[in-house]
Amino acid sequence: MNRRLQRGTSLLEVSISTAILAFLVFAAAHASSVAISTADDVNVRDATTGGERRNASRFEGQLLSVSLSSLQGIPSNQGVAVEPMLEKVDYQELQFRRVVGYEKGAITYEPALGTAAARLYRSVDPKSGYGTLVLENRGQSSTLLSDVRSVVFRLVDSTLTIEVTTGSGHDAPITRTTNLVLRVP
Amino acid sequence: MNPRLSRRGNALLLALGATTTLIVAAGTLLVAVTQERTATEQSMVNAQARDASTSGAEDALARLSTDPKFEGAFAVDMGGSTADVTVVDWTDDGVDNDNDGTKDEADEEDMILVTSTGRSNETLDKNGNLIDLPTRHAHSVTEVILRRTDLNLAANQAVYVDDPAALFKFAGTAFLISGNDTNMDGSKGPNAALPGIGTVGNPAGIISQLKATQKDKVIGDGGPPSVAKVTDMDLMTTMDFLKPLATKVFGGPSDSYSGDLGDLKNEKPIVVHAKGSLKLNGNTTGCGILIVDGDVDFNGTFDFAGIIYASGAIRFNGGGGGKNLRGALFTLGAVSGDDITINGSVDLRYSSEAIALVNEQLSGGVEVLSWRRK
Repeated sequence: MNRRLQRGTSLLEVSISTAILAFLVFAAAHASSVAISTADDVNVRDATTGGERRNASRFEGQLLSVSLSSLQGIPSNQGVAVEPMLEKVDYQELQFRRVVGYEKGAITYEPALGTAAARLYRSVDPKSGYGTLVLENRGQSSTLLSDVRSVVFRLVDSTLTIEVTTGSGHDAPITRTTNLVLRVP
Repeated sequence: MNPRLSRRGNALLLALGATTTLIVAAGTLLVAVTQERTATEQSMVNAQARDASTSGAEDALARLSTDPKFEGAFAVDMGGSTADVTVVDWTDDGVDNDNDGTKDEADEEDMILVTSTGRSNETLDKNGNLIDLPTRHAHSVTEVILRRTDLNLAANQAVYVDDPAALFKFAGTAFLISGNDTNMDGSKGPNAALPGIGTVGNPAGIISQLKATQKDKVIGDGGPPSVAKVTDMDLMTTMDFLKPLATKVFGGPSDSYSGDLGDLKNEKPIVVHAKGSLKLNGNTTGCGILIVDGDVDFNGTFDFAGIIYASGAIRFNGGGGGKNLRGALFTLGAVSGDDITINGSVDLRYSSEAIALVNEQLSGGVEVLSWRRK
Protein backbone atom coordinates (compact mmCIF):
# COMPACT_ATOMS: atom_id res chain seq x y z
CA MET A 1 0.00 0.00 0.00
CA ASN A 2 1.10 3.53 -0.74
CA ARG A 3 2.54 5.08 2.46
CA ARG A 4 0.65 8.28 1.80
CA LEU A 5 -2.53 6.34 2.33
CA GLN A 6 -1.22 5.02 5.64
CA ARG A 7 -0.87 8.62 7.04
CA GLY A 8 -3.72 10.14 9.09
CA THR A 9 -5.39 8.49 12.04
CA SER A 10 -5.57 4.90 12.93
CA LEU A 11 -8.84 3.27 14.03
CA LEU A 12 -7.57 3.22 17.59
CA GLU A 13 -6.86 6.96 17.52
CA VAL A 14 -10.27 7.69 16.03
CA SER A 15 -11.91 5.53 18.70
CA ILE A 16 -10.08 7.24 21.53
CA SER A 17 -10.74 10.74 20.23
CA THR A 18 -14.41 9.86 19.59
CA ALA A 19 -14.73 8.56 23.13
CA ILE A 20 -13.15 11.73 24.55
CA LEU A 21 -15.34 13.92 22.35
CA ALA A 22 -18.43 11.95 23.29
CA PHE A 23 -17.58 12.36 26.98
CA LEU A 24 -17.07 16.09 26.51
CA VAL A 25 -20.30 16.45 24.54
CA PHE A 26 -22.29 14.53 27.15
CA ALA A 27 -20.63 16.49 29.97
CA ALA A 28 -21.44 19.75 28.23
CA ALA A 29 -24.99 18.63 27.48
CA HIS A 30 -25.46 17.56 31.09
CA ALA A 31 -24.07 20.87 32.33
CA SER A 32 -26.39 22.73 29.96
CA SER A 33 -29.31 20.65 31.13
CA VAL A 34 -28.51 21.39 34.77
CA ALA A 35 -28.04 25.07 33.96
CA ILE A 36 -31.37 25.26 32.11
CA SER A 37 -33.10 23.40 34.93
CA THR A 38 -31.58 25.73 37.52
CA ALA A 39 -32.48 28.77 35.46
CA ASP A 40 -36.02 27.46 35.20
CA ASP A 41 -36.18 27.00 38.96
CA VAL A 42 -34.84 30.49 39.47
CA ASN A 43 -37.42 31.84 37.04
CA VAL A 44 -40.23 30.07 38.93
CA ARG A 45 -38.99 31.48 42.23
CA ASP A 46 -38.53 34.89 40.68
CA ALA A 47 -42.00 34.72 39.17
CA THR A 48 -43.36 33.99 42.65
CA THR A 49 -41.55 36.83 44.41
CA GLY A 50 -41.81 39.01 41.35
CA GLY A 51 -45.53 38.28 41.27
CA GLU A 52 -45.79 39.44 44.86
CA ARG A 53 -43.87 42.59 44.02
CA ARG A 54 -46.02 43.24 40.98
CA ASN A 55 -49.22 42.56 42.96
CA ALA A 56 -48.10 44.88 45.75
CA SER A 57 -47.14 47.54 43.24
CA ARG A 58 -50.45 47.17 41.38
CA PHE A 59 -52.54 47.33 44.56
CA GLU A 60 -50.49 50.20 45.94
CA GLY A 61 -50.99 52.13 42.73
CA GLN A 62 -54.74 51.65 42.98
CA LEU A 63 -55.22 52.05 46.72
CA LEU A 64 -52.52 54.41 47.99
CA SER A 65 -54.82 57.44 47.88
CA VAL A 66 -57.91 55.63 49.12
CA SER A 67 -59.88 57.30 51.86
CA LEU A 68 -60.23 54.98 54.86
CA SER A 69 -63.68 56.30 55.63
CA SER A 70 -64.84 55.48 52.09
CA LEU A 71 -64.06 51.77 52.38
CA GLN A 72 -67.01 49.45 51.96
CA GLY A 73 -67.25 45.78 51.21
CA ILE A 74 -69.29 42.64 50.79
CA PRO A 75 -68.41 40.20 53.58
CA SER A 76 -67.06 36.82 52.56
CA ASN A 77 -69.69 34.07 52.73
CA GLN A 78 -72.48 36.54 53.44
CA GLY A 79 -74.68 37.44 50.54
CA VAL A 80 -74.29 40.51 48.39
CA ALA A 81 -75.11 43.41 50.72
CA VAL A 82 -72.49 46.15 50.84
CA GLU A 83 -71.57 47.50 54.27
CA PRO A 84 -69.03 49.99 55.63
CA MET A 85 -65.83 48.02 56.10
CA LEU A 86 -65.40 46.77 59.65
CA GLU A 87 -62.10 45.91 61.26
CA LYS A 88 -60.88 42.30 61.26
CA VAL A 89 -63.73 41.11 59.04
CA ASP A 90 -63.05 39.25 55.78
CA TYR A 91 -64.57 40.76 52.65
CA GLN A 92 -64.83 39.30 49.16
CA GLU A 93 -65.36 42.65 47.45
CA LEU A 94 -63.87 46.06 48.17
CA GLN A 95 -65.45 49.37 47.26
CA PHE A 96 -63.55 52.62 47.64
CA ARG A 97 -62.95 56.21 46.62
CA ARG A 98 -59.59 57.91 46.26
CA VAL A 99 -58.86 61.40 47.53
CA VAL A 100 -57.34 63.15 44.55
CA GLY A 101 -57.02 66.72 45.66
CA TYR A 102 -58.47 69.81 47.26
CA GLU A 103 -60.65 71.97 45.03
CA LYS A 104 -62.81 74.97 45.88
CA GLY A 105 -62.49 74.47 49.60
CA ALA A 106 -63.33 70.78 49.66
CA ILE A 107 -61.65 67.42 49.32
CA THR A 108 -62.24 65.92 45.89
CA TYR A 109 -62.83 62.21 45.45
CA GLU A 110 -62.46 59.86 42.51
CA PRO A 111 -65.02 58.48 41.79
CA ALA A 112 -66.90 61.59 42.87
CA LEU A 113 -69.32 61.44 45.79
CA GLY A 114 -72.80 60.63 44.55
CA THR A 115 -71.51 58.29 41.86
CA ALA A 116 -70.79 54.58 42.15
CA ALA A 117 -67.64 53.75 44.13
CA ALA A 118 -64.76 51.89 42.49
CA ARG A 119 -64.95 48.10 42.97
CA LEU A 120 -62.27 45.47 43.33
CA TYR A 121 -63.64 41.94 43.14
CA ARG A 122 -63.16 38.44 41.76
CA SER A 123 -65.14 37.71 38.62
CA VAL A 124 -65.69 34.11 37.55
CA ASP A 125 -66.09 33.03 33.93
CA PRO A 126 -69.04 30.58 34.02
CA LYS A 127 -67.67 28.59 31.08
CA SER A 128 -64.08 28.05 32.11
CA GLY A 129 -64.59 28.44 35.84
CA TYR A 130 -61.49 30.63 35.99
CA GLY A 131 -61.53 33.75 38.12
CA THR A 132 -60.00 37.13 37.50
CA LEU A 133 -59.42 40.07 39.83
CA VAL A 134 -61.30 42.96 38.31
CA LEU A 135 -61.12 46.69 38.99
CA GLU A 136 -64.33 48.44 38.00
CA ASN A 137 -64.31 52.21 37.96
CA ARG A 138 -66.66 54.66 36.28
CA GLY A 139 -68.27 51.93 34.21
CA GLN A 140 -65.00 50.52 32.90
CA SER A 141 -63.50 47.20 33.94
CA SER A 142 -59.90 46.15 33.83
CA THR A 143 -58.32 42.87 34.82
CA LEU A 144 -55.59 43.17 37.42
CA LEU A 145 -54.82 39.45 37.85
CA SER A 146 -55.86 36.29 36.06
CA ASP A 147 -56.45 32.73 37.29
CA VAL A 148 -57.54 34.03 40.70
CA ARG A 149 -58.89 31.28 42.95
CA SER A 150 -59.91 33.50 45.86
CA VAL A 151 -59.47 37.01 47.20
CA VAL A 152 -59.93 38.34 50.73
CA PHE A 153 -59.83 41.98 51.85
CA ARG A 154 -59.29 42.74 55.54
CA LEU A 155 -58.77 45.99 57.48
CA VAL A 156 -56.80 46.18 60.72
CA ASP A 157 -56.11 49.66 62.10
CA SER A 158 -55.13 51.60 59.01
CA THR A 159 -53.65 48.62 57.20
CA LEU A 160 -55.56 46.99 54.37
CA THR A 161 -54.57 43.38 53.78
CA ILE A 162 -55.28 41.75 50.44
CA GLU A 163 -54.88 37.97 50.17
CA VAL A 164 -54.98 36.67 46.63
CA THR A 165 -54.71 32.98 45.78
CA THR A 166 -53.79 32.24 42.18
CA GLY A 167 -53.21 29.07 40.21
CA SER A 168 -49.52 29.10 39.48
CA GLY A 169 -49.62 26.78 36.49
CA HIS A 170 -46.55 25.11 37.93
CA ASP A 171 -47.20 23.70 41.39
CA ALA A 172 -49.88 24.19 43.99
CA PRO A 173 -51.87 27.45 44.06
CA ILE A 174 -49.96 30.38 45.55
CA THR A 175 -51.44 32.76 48.11
CA ARG A 176 -49.88 36.19 48.06
CA THR A 177 -50.53 38.71 50.81
CA THR A 178 -50.19 42.45 50.32
CA ASN A 179 -50.34 44.87 53.25
CA LEU A 180 -51.02 48.50 52.48
CA VAL A 181 -50.97 51.31 55.02
CA LEU A 182 -53.73 53.76 54.12
CA ARG A 183 -52.84 57.26 55.23
CA VAL A 184 -55.91 59.22 54.18
CA PRO A 185 -58.69 59.23 56.79
CA MET B 1 -13.82 4.84 -2.82
CA ASN B 2 -10.99 4.17 -0.43
CA PRO B 3 -12.65 3.22 2.89
CA ARG B 4 -9.90 4.89 4.93
CA LEU B 5 -10.42 8.17 3.11
CA SER B 6 -14.20 8.06 3.75
CA ARG B 7 -13.66 7.89 7.53
CA ARG B 8 -11.53 11.05 7.58
CA GLY B 9 -13.04 14.20 9.26
CA ASN B 10 -15.97 12.52 11.10
CA ALA B 11 -14.71 13.61 14.53
CA LEU B 12 -14.30 17.19 13.32
CA LEU B 13 -17.87 17.30 12.03
CA LEU B 14 -19.16 15.90 15.30
CA ALA B 15 -17.16 18.44 17.27
CA LEU B 16 -18.39 21.32 15.12
CA GLY B 17 -22.01 20.16 15.44
CA ALA B 18 -21.81 19.79 19.19
CA THR B 19 -20.01 23.10 19.62
CA THR B 20 -22.57 24.94 17.48
CA THR B 21 -25.44 23.47 19.53
CA LEU B 22 -23.78 24.50 22.76
CA ILE B 23 -23.06 28.01 21.46
CA VAL B 24 -26.72 28.47 20.45
CA ALA B 25 -27.93 27.23 23.84
CA ALA B 26 -25.45 29.42 25.71
CA GLY B 27 -26.37 32.43 23.57
CA THR B 28 -30.08 31.95 24.22
CA LEU B 29 -29.47 31.70 27.95
CA LEU B 30 -27.26 34.78 27.87
CA VAL B 31 -29.90 36.85 26.10
CA ALA B 32 -32.62 35.69 28.52
CA VAL B 33 -30.49 36.39 31.58
CA THR B 34 -29.42 39.78 30.26
CA GLN B 35 -33.02 40.82 29.62
CA GLU B 36 -33.99 39.59 33.07
CA ARG B 37 -31.19 41.60 34.64
CA THR B 38 -32.21 44.73 32.73
CA ALA B 39 -35.82 44.39 33.88
CA THR B 40 -34.74 43.72 37.47
CA GLU B 41 -32.40 46.72 37.52
CA GLN B 42 -35.10 49.04 36.17
CA SER B 43 -37.63 47.64 38.63
CA MET B 44 -35.13 48.25 41.43
CA VAL B 45 -34.50 51.89 40.57
CA ASN B 46 -38.24 52.48 40.19
CA ALA B 47 -38.82 51.01 43.66
CA GLN B 48 -35.94 53.05 45.08
CA ALA B 49 -37.39 56.25 43.63
CA ARG B 50 -40.86 55.45 44.99
CA ASP B 51 -39.49 54.63 48.44
CA ALA B 52 -37.37 57.77 48.43
CA SER B 53 -40.34 59.99 47.61
CA THR B 54 -42.41 58.32 50.33
CA SER B 55 -39.58 58.72 52.85
CA GLY B 56 -39.23 62.40 51.97
CA ALA B 57 -42.95 62.96 52.56
CA GLU B 58 -42.80 61.06 55.86
CA ASP B 59 -39.82 63.19 56.90
CA ALA B 60 -41.83 66.35 56.19
CA LEU B 61 -44.73 65.02 58.26
CA ALA B 62 -42.38 64.30 61.15
CA ARG B 63 -41.01 67.85 60.98
CA LEU B 64 -44.53 69.31 60.83
CA SER B 65 -45.69 67.24 63.78
CA THR B 66 -43.07 68.93 65.97
CA ASP B 67 -43.24 72.32 64.25
CA PRO B 68 -46.59 72.94 62.48
CA LYS B 69 -45.25 76.26 61.14
CA PHE B 70 -42.42 74.54 59.27
CA GLU B 71 -42.01 75.70 55.65
CA GLY B 72 -39.27 75.48 53.06
CA ALA B 73 -37.24 72.94 51.15
CA PHE B 74 -34.83 70.24 52.21
CA ALA B 75 -33.17 67.17 50.78
CA VAL B 76 -33.03 63.67 52.21
CA ASP B 77 -30.09 61.46 51.20
CA MET B 78 -30.80 57.76 51.50
CA GLY B 79 -27.52 56.51 50.11
CA GLY B 80 -28.13 55.78 46.46
CA SER B 81 -31.40 57.63 46.25
CA THR B 82 -32.44 61.09 47.30
CA ALA B 83 -35.62 63.04 47.93
CA ASP B 84 -36.09 66.75 47.31
CA VAL B 85 -38.89 67.94 49.56
CA THR B 86 -40.77 71.23 49.59
CA VAL B 87 -43.30 72.30 52.21
CA VAL B 88 -45.59 75.17 51.16
CA ASP B 89 -48.16 76.87 53.37
CA TRP B 90 -51.15 77.83 51.22
CA THR B 91 -52.30 80.45 53.71
CA ASP B 92 -50.24 83.27 52.24
CA ASP B 93 -48.43 81.93 49.17
CA GLY B 94 -50.23 84.26 46.74
CA VAL B 95 -51.53 81.32 44.68
CA ASP B 96 -55.07 80.10 44.02
CA ASN B 97 -54.27 76.58 45.22
CA ASP B 98 -57.84 75.25 45.30
CA ASN B 99 -58.83 76.68 41.89
CA ASP B 100 -61.81 78.68 43.10
CA GLY B 101 -60.69 81.95 41.54
CA THR B 102 -59.50 83.47 44.82
CA LYS B 103 -56.03 83.58 46.29
CA ASP B 104 -55.28 82.83 49.92
CA GLU B 105 -58.91 82.93 51.04
CA ALA B 106 -60.28 81.20 54.15
CA ASP B 107 -60.46 77.83 52.38
CA GLU B 108 -56.69 77.82 51.97
CA GLU B 109 -55.93 78.86 55.53
CA ASP B 110 -53.89 76.30 57.47
CA MET B 111 -53.54 74.11 54.38
CA ILE B 112 -50.07 72.74 53.61
CA LEU B 113 -48.74 71.05 50.48
CA VAL B 114 -45.79 68.67 50.77
CA THR B 115 -44.12 67.68 47.50
CA SER B 116 -41.43 65.03 47.67
CA THR B 117 -39.52 64.05 44.53
CA GLY B 118 -37.60 60.82 44.99
CA ARG B 119 -34.73 60.15 42.59
CA SER B 120 -32.69 57.05 41.96
CA ASN B 121 -29.51 57.38 39.90
CA GLU B 122 -30.62 60.81 38.73
CA THR B 123 -28.42 63.88 38.94
CA LEU B 124 -29.48 67.44 38.27
CA ASP B 125 -27.30 70.28 37.09
CA LYS B 126 -27.26 73.58 38.94
CA ASN B 127 -30.28 74.77 36.92
CA GLY B 128 -32.32 71.77 37.97
CA ASN B 129 -32.12 70.00 34.62
CA LEU B 130 -31.65 66.26 34.49
CA ILE B 131 -28.15 65.22 33.47
CA ASP B 132 -28.37 62.35 31.01
CA LEU B 133 -26.42 59.49 32.55
CA PRO B 134 -25.90 56.09 30.91
CA THR B 135 -27.36 54.32 33.94
CA ARG B 136 -30.86 53.17 34.67
CA HIS B 137 -32.65 55.93 36.54
CA ALA B 138 -36.12 56.85 37.77
CA HIS B 139 -37.98 59.43 39.78
CA SER B 140 -41.28 59.48 41.62
CA VAL B 141 -43.31 62.34 43.10
CA THR B 142 -45.43 62.13 46.24
CA GLU B 143 -47.86 64.95 46.97
CA VAL B 144 -49.47 65.27 50.38
CA ILE B 145 -52.09 67.85 51.33
CA LEU B 146 -52.32 68.53 55.05
CA ARG B 147 -54.39 70.73 57.31
CA ARG B 148 -53.28 72.16 60.61
CA THR B 149 -55.69 71.24 63.35
CA ASP B 150 -56.88 73.87 65.75
CA LEU B 151 -58.92 72.55 68.65
CA ASN B 152 -61.55 74.66 70.29
CA LEU B 153 -63.37 72.09 72.36
CA ALA B 154 -65.77 73.28 75.02
CA ALA B 155 -68.29 71.84 77.46
CA ASN B 156 -71.63 73.20 78.64
CA GLN B 157 -71.95 70.60 81.43
CA ALA B 158 -69.90 67.91 83.14
CA VAL B 159 -71.78 64.97 81.61
CA TYR B 160 -73.65 65.32 78.30
CA VAL B 161 -76.11 62.73 77.10
CA ASP B 162 -77.62 63.17 73.65
CA ASP B 163 -80.96 61.62 74.57
CA PRO B 164 -83.29 63.13 77.21
CA ALA B 165 -84.95 59.72 77.51
CA ALA B 166 -81.63 58.09 78.34
CA LEU B 167 -81.67 55.32 80.92
CA PHE B 168 -79.40 55.96 83.89
CA LYS B 169 -78.49 53.42 86.49
CA PHE B 170 -77.43 55.26 89.61
CA ALA B 171 -76.31 52.83 92.32
CA GLY B 172 -75.56 53.89 95.89
CA THR B 173 -74.48 57.33 96.99
CA ALA B 174 -70.71 57.12 96.61
CA PHE B 175 -70.69 59.08 93.36
CA LEU B 176 -70.50 62.76 92.50
CA ILE B 177 -71.28 64.49 89.21
CA SER B 178 -70.28 68.12 89.45
CA GLY B 179 -70.70 71.04 87.09
CA ASN B 180 -68.71 73.26 89.45
CA ASP B 181 -65.44 74.18 87.77
CA THR B 182 -62.66 72.20 89.40
CA ASN B 183 -58.96 72.42 88.70
CA MET B 184 -56.95 69.30 88.06
CA ASP B 185 -55.48 69.46 91.58
CA GLY B 186 -58.98 69.54 93.07
CA SER B 187 -59.05 73.26 93.83
CA LYS B 188 -61.86 75.56 92.67
CA GLY B 189 -61.65 76.57 89.02
CA PRO B 190 -62.14 80.06 87.59
CA ASN B 191 -65.32 79.51 85.55
CA ALA B 192 -68.93 79.76 86.60
CA ALA B 193 -70.75 76.56 87.49
CA LEU B 194 -72.34 74.52 84.69
CA PRO B 195 -75.02 71.82 84.96
CA GLY B 196 -73.80 68.49 86.27
CA ILE B 197 -75.76 66.61 83.63
CA GLY B 198 -76.89 68.19 80.38
CA THR B 199 -79.23 66.86 77.74
CA VAL B 200 -80.89 68.22 74.61
CA GLY B 201 -84.52 68.01 75.77
CA ASN B 202 -86.61 68.01 78.92
CA PRO B 203 -84.37 66.76 81.75
CA ALA B 204 -87.31 65.55 83.86
CA GLY B 205 -86.87 61.97 82.71
CA ILE B 206 -83.30 61.91 83.95
CA ILE B 207 -84.11 63.66 87.24
CA SER B 208 -86.83 61.10 87.93
CA GLN B 209 -84.25 58.33 87.85
CA LEU B 210 -82.39 59.80 90.82
CA LYS B 211 -83.50 58.58 94.23
CA ALA B 212 -84.00 61.16 96.92
CA THR B 213 -80.67 60.27 98.54
CA GLN B 214 -78.88 60.65 95.23
CA LYS B 215 -80.12 64.07 94.16
CA ASP B 216 -77.44 65.97 96.02
CA LYS B 217 -74.82 63.86 94.23
CA VAL B 218 -75.47 65.76 91.01
CA ILE B 219 -74.39 69.30 91.72
CA GLY B 220 -73.65 72.46 89.78
CA ASP B 221 -75.70 75.17 88.14
CA GLY B 222 -79.36 75.02 89.20
CA GLY B 223 -78.90 71.99 91.41
CA PRO B 224 -79.18 69.80 93.23
CA PRO B 225 -79.92 67.83 91.26
CA SER B 226 -78.12 69.82 88.60
CA VAL B 227 -79.67 68.38 85.47
CA ALA B 228 -80.54 70.82 82.70
CA LYS B 229 -81.37 71.24 79.05
CA VAL B 230 -78.30 72.34 77.10
CA THR B 231 -77.41 73.18 73.50
CA ASP B 232 -77.59 70.23 71.10
CA MET B 233 -74.15 69.03 70.08
CA ASP B 234 -73.13 67.30 66.86
CA LEU B 235 -71.09 64.65 68.63
CA MET B 236 -70.48 62.46 65.59
CA THR B 237 -68.95 65.35 63.63
CA THR B 238 -66.74 66.28 66.56
CA MET B 239 -65.64 62.69 67.02
CA ASP B 240 -64.94 62.25 63.29
CA PHE B 241 -62.84 65.40 63.33
CA LEU B 242 -60.81 64.20 66.29
CA LYS B 243 -60.24 60.58 65.25
CA PRO B 244 -57.49 61.28 62.70
CA LEU B 245 -55.50 62.98 65.47
CA ALA B 246 -55.34 59.79 67.52
CA THR B 247 -51.87 58.56 68.33
CA LYS B 248 -53.14 55.53 70.21
CA VAL B 249 -55.72 53.40 68.43
CA PHE B 250 -57.59 50.31 69.55
CA GLY B 251 -58.67 48.30 66.50
CA GLY B 252 -61.96 47.00 67.89
CA PRO B 253 -64.50 45.56 67.77
CA SER B 254 -63.86 44.89 71.47
CA ASP B 255 -60.66 45.82 73.30
CA SER B 256 -59.48 45.71 76.88
CA TYR B 257 -56.73 47.91 78.29
CA SER B 258 -54.96 48.76 81.50
CA GLY B 259 -52.22 51.38 81.75
CA ASP B 260 -51.50 54.91 80.64
CA LEU B 261 -53.49 56.87 78.09
CA GLY B 262 -51.27 59.93 77.83
CA ASP B 263 -49.20 61.28 80.70
CA LEU B 264 -51.42 62.54 83.49
CA LYS B 265 -48.56 63.22 85.90
CA ASN B 266 -46.72 65.51 83.47
CA GLU B 267 -49.93 66.78 81.85
CA LYS B 268 -49.02 65.55 78.36
CA PRO B 269 -52.31 64.77 76.61
CA ILE B 270 -52.84 62.46 73.65
CA VAL B 271 -55.83 61.49 71.53
CA VAL B 272 -56.95 57.89 71.97
CA HIS B 273 -59.41 56.25 69.59
CA ALA B 274 -61.11 52.91 70.18
CA LYS B 275 -62.71 51.59 66.99
CA GLY B 276 -65.20 49.57 68.95
CA SER B 277 -66.10 48.90 72.55
CA LEU B 278 -63.43 49.41 75.19
CA LYS B 279 -62.98 47.93 78.65
CA LEU B 280 -60.55 49.76 80.91
CA ASN B 281 -59.46 47.37 83.60
CA GLY B 282 -56.93 47.45 86.40
CA ASN B 283 -55.24 50.77 87.00
CA THR B 284 -55.68 53.26 84.17
CA THR B 285 -54.56 56.86 84.17
CA GLY B 286 -54.75 59.26 81.31
CA CYS B 287 -54.73 62.77 79.94
CA GLY B 288 -56.19 63.99 76.66
CA ILE B 289 -59.16 62.92 74.57
CA LEU B 290 -60.65 59.44 74.64
CA ILE B 291 -62.97 58.57 71.74
CA VAL B 292 -64.84 55.27 71.82
CA ASP B 293 -66.91 54.03 68.87
CA GLY B 294 -69.13 51.93 71.11
CA ASP B 295 -69.58 51.11 74.77
CA VAL B 296 -66.93 51.92 77.34
CA ASP B 297 -66.57 50.09 80.65
CA PHE B 298 -64.55 51.46 83.54
CA ASN B 299 -63.80 48.47 85.72
CA GLY B 300 -60.73 49.24 87.78
CA THR B 301 -59.14 52.39 89.13
CA PHE B 302 -59.46 55.21 86.63
CA ASP B 303 -57.97 58.68 86.79
CA PHE B 304 -58.30 60.90 83.70
CA ALA B 305 -58.01 64.58 82.83
CA GLY B 306 -59.57 65.70 79.57
CA ILE B 307 -62.60 64.83 77.51
CA ILE B 308 -64.28 61.48 76.89
CA TYR B 309 -66.54 60.87 73.88
CA ALA B 310 -68.49 57.64 73.43
CA SER B 311 -71.05 56.68 70.82
CA GLY B 312 -72.40 53.92 73.06
CA ALA B 313 -73.07 53.24 76.71
CA ILE B 314 -70.89 54.50 79.55
CA ARG B 315 -70.52 52.09 82.43
CA PHE B 316 -68.67 52.99 85.61
CA ASN B 317 -68.82 49.61 87.27
CA GLY B 318 -68.49 49.18 91.02
CA GLY B 319 -65.43 47.74 92.72
CA GLY B 320 -61.82 47.93 91.69
CA GLY B 321 -61.12 51.44 92.95
CA GLY B 322 -62.24 55.00 92.36
CA LYS B 323 -63.04 56.51 89.00
CA ASN B 324 -62.11 60.15 88.56
CA LEU B 325 -62.62 62.44 85.59
CA ARG B 326 -61.59 66.09 85.41
CA GLY B 327 -62.94 67.67 82.25
CA ALA B 328 -66.13 66.54 80.56
CA LEU B 329 -67.87 63.45 79.28
CA PHE B 330 -70.09 63.14 76.21
CA THR B 331 -72.19 60.19 75.09
CA LEU B 332 -74.72 59.42 72.39
CA GLY B 333 -76.13 56.61 74.51
CA ALA B 334 -76.44 52.87 74.14
CA VAL B 335 -78.21 51.09 71.32
CA SER B 336 -80.10 49.09 73.96
CA GLY B 337 -80.07 48.84 77.73
CA ASP B 338 -78.79 51.42 80.19
CA ASP B 339 -77.08 54.42 78.64
CA ILE B 340 -75.07 55.43 81.68
CA THR B 341 -74.23 53.31 84.70
CA ILE B 342 -72.83 55.03 87.78
CA ASN B 343 -71.87 52.47 90.38
CA GLY B 344 -69.33 52.72 93.18
CA SER B 345 -66.90 55.51 93.89
CA VAL B 346 -67.26 57.71 90.80
CA ASP B 347 -66.16 61.35 90.69
CA LEU B 348 -66.97 63.22 87.46
CA ARG B 349 -66.18 66.94 87.54
CA TYR B 350 -66.24 69.69 84.96
CA SER B 351 -62.76 71.20 84.67
CA SER B 352 -62.08 74.20 82.43
CA GLU B 353 -58.40 73.78 83.23
CA ALA B 354 -58.30 70.21 81.87
CA ILE B 355 -60.23 71.22 78.74
CA ALA B 356 -57.93 74.19 78.16
CA LEU B 357 -54.91 71.92 78.58
CA VAL B 358 -56.24 69.58 75.91
CA ASN B 359 -57.05 72.47 73.54
CA GLU B 360 -53.66 74.10 73.96
CA GLN B 361 -51.45 71.06 73.79
CA LEU B 362 -53.26 69.11 71.09
CA SER B 363 -53.77 72.05 68.74
CA GLY B 364 -51.22 72.59 66.02
CA GLY B 365 -50.98 69.03 64.78
CA VAL B 366 -51.45 68.21 61.13
CA GLU B 367 -54.08 66.04 59.52
CA VAL B 368 -53.49 64.23 56.23
CA LEU B 369 -56.22 65.08 53.71
CA SER B 370 -54.70 63.62 50.58
CA TRP B 371 -51.72 61.39 49.73
CA ARG B 372 -50.94 60.84 46.07
CA ARG B 373 -48.04 59.50 44.09
CA LYS B 374 -47.37 60.49 40.51
